[in-house]
Amino acid sequence: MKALTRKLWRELWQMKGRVFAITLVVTSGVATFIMFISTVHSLEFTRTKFCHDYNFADVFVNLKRAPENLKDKIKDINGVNQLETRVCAQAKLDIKGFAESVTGKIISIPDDGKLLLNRLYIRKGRLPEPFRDDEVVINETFAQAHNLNPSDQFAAVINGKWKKLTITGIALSPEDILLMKAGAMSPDFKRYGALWMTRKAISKAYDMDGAFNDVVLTLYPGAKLSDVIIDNILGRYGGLKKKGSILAEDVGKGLKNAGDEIEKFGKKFLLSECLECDSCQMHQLCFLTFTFPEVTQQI
Amino acid sequence: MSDLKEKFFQVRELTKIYKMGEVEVHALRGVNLELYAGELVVLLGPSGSGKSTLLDIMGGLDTATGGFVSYRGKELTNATDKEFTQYRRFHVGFVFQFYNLISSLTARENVSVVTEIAEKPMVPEKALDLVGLSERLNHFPAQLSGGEQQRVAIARAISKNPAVLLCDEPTGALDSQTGVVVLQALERINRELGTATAIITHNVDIAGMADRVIHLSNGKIAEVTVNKVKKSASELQW
Ligand SMILES: Nc1ncnc2c1ncn2[C@@H]1O[C@H](COP(=O)(O)OP(=O)(O)OP(=O)(O)O)[C@@H](O)[C@H]1O
Ligand SMILES: [Mg+2]
Repeated sequence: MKALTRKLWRELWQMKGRVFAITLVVTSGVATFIMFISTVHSLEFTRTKFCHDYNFADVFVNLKRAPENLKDKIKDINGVNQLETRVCAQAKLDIKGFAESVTGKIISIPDDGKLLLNRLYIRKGRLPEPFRDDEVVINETFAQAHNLNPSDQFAAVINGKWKKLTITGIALSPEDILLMKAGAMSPDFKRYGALWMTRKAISKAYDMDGAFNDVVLTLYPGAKLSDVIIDNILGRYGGLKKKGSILAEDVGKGLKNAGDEIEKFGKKFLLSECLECDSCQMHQLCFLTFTFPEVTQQI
Repeated sequence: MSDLKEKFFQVRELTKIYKMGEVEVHALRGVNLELYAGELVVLLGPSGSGKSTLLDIMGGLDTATGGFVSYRGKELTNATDKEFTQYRRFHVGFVFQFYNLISSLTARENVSVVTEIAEKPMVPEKALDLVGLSERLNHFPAQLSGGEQQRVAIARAISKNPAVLLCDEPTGALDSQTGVVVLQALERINRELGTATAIITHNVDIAGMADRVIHLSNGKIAEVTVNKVKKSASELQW
C-alpha cells in the first residue's frame, strides 16, 4: 500500500467516531431523501392511476343551459374522445349539529347509474336508486368532517325548496381529490362538500329536463385544447365568457397564472375562475381542469 | 579546488522585490553566487538579509524579480511550472527548520512518500541508516525527539538521491548537542554521497564545517570566506 493511502486510512481510523457520525448523518439524510422521493413517486403514480382508472376528464365546461341534443355536436369536434353531459348545482346544506353555512356541489349521476367520466369509487354503501330523488352519495372528506355514514340524513335547500336527503354511500372521485370552493385558499371539508344525485332528481328540481349545464370530456392523446373550441358551440347557451371566451389564449394565460397550482398539483391542476357572464349578469363559477395530453398518453 | 568542479548553480544579479500594496520590500538586491558540485556552503546573515529568499529561488519554491539562476547550465528563471516540478522532484532536497513530517506515518513511511515518486531513490531504510535512525524505522513523529524528527526530514530529503540539498536553519529548533547530531548527518551525506549542500544558519560556529561561508547582508553578498581547514561537525560547539 502506498504511504499516502496508508495515511488516509490511518487518519480516517483516528477519527472513526466522527467519520461514523458523519456517515450516519449522511446515510440517514440520503435514506430520508430516497424515502420521500419514493413516496412522492408512488403518490404521483397512485394519483395518475386513480385518474386513469376512474376516467378523469381532461376538459370541464360549465354553462347555463343547453339542450341535450347538443351532445352529438360536441362529440363531433375533432379531438374529443369521451363526453358526458351533467347537471350540476350548488345548494345550501343543513347539517344537524353544525350551525354554520355549508355549501354542497351537486353533480348528477346518469339514470343508469353508470358514470362514464369521473367515476366514483364507493368506499361505503351504494349509489342512489335510479327512481329515488332523495338519495345522495357524498364525498369522503366531507363525510368524515361531519362524521356522516350511509343511512344518515341531512337537509338541503334545492332550488329554494327544503328537502331531506338520505346518504346511501360515501365515495371518492378523481374530480374532488381536493375540493375547494371558488376563491378559497384552502379546502374546507366541513363547509364544502360534493353530493351525487340521480340526474332525474336534479333535473326535476332545477328544471333541466332534456338539458344539461355541465360537460366533461376527455381528449384523444395528442389533441390540443386549442383545437377543441367548444366555445363556438356552447357560447350562446351561456357557457364560458362572452367577452373573450376561454380559447387557447386564455387557457395559456391561465396556465401561466396558475404556475403555483401546477407546482401544487403536479401535471394535473385545477383552475377555478370567476367569470362574468353577459347573458345572466351574474358571477358564474367555471371550473376548468386540464390534463396535459402527454400524460394521458403515457398511461 | 572549486574551479575543477562542475558549477551546479550560477546566480547572476538576482533581485527579488516583494510588493505589499504600496510598499516594496527589496529582499534581494543583485546577488552573484556560484555553488559547486559536492561542496558544503553555509549561508550566514542577520535576520531579514534574504537568506531564505535566495534559497527558495534556487530551490524552485519562489521566482525571482530580476537576474537569473541556472542549474547545471539550465536557466531556472524562465522555466515552466512543469519543469519546476520536475526540478524540485528529482534534483533538490529540502530541509526546513520545522520538520513538516506527516504525523500519522512512521519514520519509514514518511520517507516512502518521497521514494515512491522519485526516479532513482534509495530504499527508505538506507536513507534512515545514513542519518543514524535504523533503530527507529517504525516510530511515529510523536515518538521521536526533535533532533530525530529533523533527521527523518533529512533522510526524506536525501532519499531521492538529489544532487543538491538545501537546508533552511535545520538546527534552529534544536539544542546544541542535538544540533551537532543533525549536522553530522548532513556532513556524512555530503561526504559519502557527494551531495552539494547549502545550510542557512544564524549560528556563526556552524560556519566552521563549511567549505565556503557566504555572508549575506541587506539583500547582497557581503563577503565569501573559504575555510582552509574544515572542522568536523563533532568538533562544533555553541
Ligand atoms: N512572502 C513575503 N512577502 C513579503 N515580504 C517578504 C516575504 N518573504 C520575505 N519577505 C521579506 O524579505 C526580506 C528577506 O526575508 P528572508 O526570509 O529572505 O530573510 P532571512 O534572511 O531568511 O531572515 P531570517 O534569518 O529571519 O529567516 C525580509 O525583509 C522579509 O520581511
Ligand atoms: Mg529565513
